[in-house]
Amino acid sequence: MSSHLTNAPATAWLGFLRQNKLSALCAALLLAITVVSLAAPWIIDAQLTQVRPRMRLQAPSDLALFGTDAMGRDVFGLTVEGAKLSLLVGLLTALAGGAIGTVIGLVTGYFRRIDGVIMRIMDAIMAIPNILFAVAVVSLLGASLATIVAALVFNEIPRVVRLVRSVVLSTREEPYVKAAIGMSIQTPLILARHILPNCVAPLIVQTTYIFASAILSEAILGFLGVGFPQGTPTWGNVMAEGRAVFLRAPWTIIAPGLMLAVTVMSVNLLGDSLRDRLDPRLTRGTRASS
Amino acid sequence: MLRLVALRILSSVPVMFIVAVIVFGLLRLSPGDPAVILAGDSATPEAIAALRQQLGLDQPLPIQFVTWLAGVATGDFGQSILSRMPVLALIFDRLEATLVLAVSAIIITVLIAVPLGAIAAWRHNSWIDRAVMALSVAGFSVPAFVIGYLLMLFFSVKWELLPVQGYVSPFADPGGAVRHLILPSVTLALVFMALIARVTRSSLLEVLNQDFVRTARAKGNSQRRVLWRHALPNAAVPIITVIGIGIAMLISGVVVTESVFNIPGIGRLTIDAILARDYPVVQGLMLFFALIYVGVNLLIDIAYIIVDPRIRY
Repeated sequence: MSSHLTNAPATAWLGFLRQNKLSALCAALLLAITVVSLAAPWIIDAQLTQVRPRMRLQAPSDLALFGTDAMGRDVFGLTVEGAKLSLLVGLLTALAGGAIGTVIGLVTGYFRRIDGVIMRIMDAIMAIPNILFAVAVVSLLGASLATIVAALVFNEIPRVVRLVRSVVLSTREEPYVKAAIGMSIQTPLILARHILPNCVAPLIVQTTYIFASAILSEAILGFLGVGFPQGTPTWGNVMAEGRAVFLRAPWTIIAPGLMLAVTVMSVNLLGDSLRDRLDPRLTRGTRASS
Repeated sequence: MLRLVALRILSSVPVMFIVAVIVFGLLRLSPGDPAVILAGDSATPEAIAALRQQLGLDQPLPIQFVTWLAGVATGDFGQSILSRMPVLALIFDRLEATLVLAVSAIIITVLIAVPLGAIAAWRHNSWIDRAVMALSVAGFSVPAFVIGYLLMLFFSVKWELLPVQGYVSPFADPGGAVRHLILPSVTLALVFMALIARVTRSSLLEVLNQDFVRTARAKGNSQRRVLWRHALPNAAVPIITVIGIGIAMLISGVVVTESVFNIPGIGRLTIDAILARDYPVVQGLMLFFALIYVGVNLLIDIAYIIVDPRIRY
C-alpha cells in the first residue's frame, strides 16, 4: 500500500530520477518537448508553415530540417506546432479518463448491488473496437478537442474502473475500513479518506499509459482523416497530409512519426519504472493498448 | 461442467445487448438526418418524408431499436442505405481479406513473439532480455501506419522485393497472395507481438521459480526440454488470455493496416460506411466486431473450464 511517494516531498522524486537514469532521460525529453511545443510561436517563424508553392517537397536539408510537405510547409515547424494539440489530447484524456473511471470504480467496488450491471457495461465498452468507436463519434458529432477527448475517454474508462474496483474490493475488507464503517463515518468520507489513497499509486501508472495511448489514437484518427479539421497542425494531421506524397517525400510521415514515437515511448518507459517503484505487486504485462 | 459452460455462454448475452444499445444510441447522437443526406440537395420535402418512412426513420427510437434487434436476432442485419445490399452480404463479401490478414498476423505473432518472450525470460537480465523488452516498448510506441509505410518504402519501393499495395485472394493465386500479405500482416502483428512477448516473459518468469521446474532439472532433463515441455505449458494461461483480449487491438489494427495497404476488408468497409453515414452497415459491423471479441473470449474461457478443473464461478 505504498502511496508514500505521492505525498513525499519533491526530493523523493528527484532521488527516484537520480537512481533511474532511463526515467530521468525520459522525463527530460518530455519536459523538453512540452517546453518547445509551448514556445512554438517564438521558435518557429510563422512564415515557414505557410503554403509556399515554390518550396514543395524539399528533402531534409540545412534549410528545412525535416524537409517540406506537398504545400511547401516546413515539416519541422509543423511538427513543433502540432505537438501542443497532440499533448493536450493525451493530457486531457488521461485526466478525465482517470477521474471518471476512479469515481465509477469506487462506487461499483463499494456498493456491491450495482456492481454486476456496471461491470457488464464495462465489458460491453471493451468489446466495441476503440478506434472504430472513436472514428464514429468524431465523424458524427464533428471533430473538435471536446469530441475527440470524449471519444477516447469513453474507450479508456473500463480499464480504470477495473483497476480501481479491484483495489476497492481488497481494501474494503481491511480492518481500518471496517473500523471506519463501525464508527458510522459517512460512506463518501470512507471512500475518499480510507480507500482512495490506496488507488493512487496504480492510478498514476495507469494514467501514464492512457496518456500514451491517447496520443497514438489521436494520430490514428488524424491519419484516417477524421481527426481535427484539415490544416490544424497535430501530429496525426501532418502525417495524414503526407500520405498522398509519401513515396516521393517519406519525411512528411517519418519525421512527425518519429517525434510521436519518442514522446509515447518516453511516457511508456516512465510509466513502467513508476510502476516498478510505486507498486511492485502490479502484474507486469497488463498495460494500456490502443 | 456443462452447467458452467452454459452459465458462461448466458453471461455474454447481456454484454451483447448493452453493446447493441451503445451502438444504436451512438448513431442516433448525430445531428444529421440520413434521409436528408441521402435524398440529396434537390429533394423535395415530400421525397425526404417518403424516404424517411421507407427507412423506418419516422418511427420512435425504441421501436426502431426493437425492430433492428429483432432482425439481428434472426440474422437480418438490415440493408445498406447506399447500396441497398443486405448488410450481412456486404460483410461476408469483404470478410475474406480481413480474416486472411488477421490470421496470418496471429500466426506470425505466435511463431515469433512467444519464443522471443520465452528466451527473454530464460536469459533474464541478459542483453537479449533487454533487447526484447526494448523492442516491446518500441512496438507499443510507434504507430502501426508509420511502420507500414516504412516497410513499404524499403521493401516495395527501394528494394522492389514485394508489391506496394493491394490484396490477392489466396484461393485464386497462393503465391501472389503470400507476397501481398507479408508487409500488411507484419505491420498488423507488431503491436500484438510487443504485447505477447511481454506477457510470455513475465508469465514464464513466475513459473521458472517454481519447484516443479527445479525437479524437472534435477531429473536430468535437458535445459531445452525443461523450458519447452515443463515451464512453457504452465505459463500458457495468461498468454492465451491476453491473446483473447488482444483481439480488440487486432481489430483496431486491421482498420489502420487495411487503410495503409489498400486492402478491401471489413475495416475499410466500416470507415467508408461511417463517413457515408450508412447507419445500418455501421451498426451491423460494430455489432459484428463485438461479437467476434466476445465470442473469442467466450471460447477461451470455455477451454479453461474444460482444461482446468479448479475454475469455478
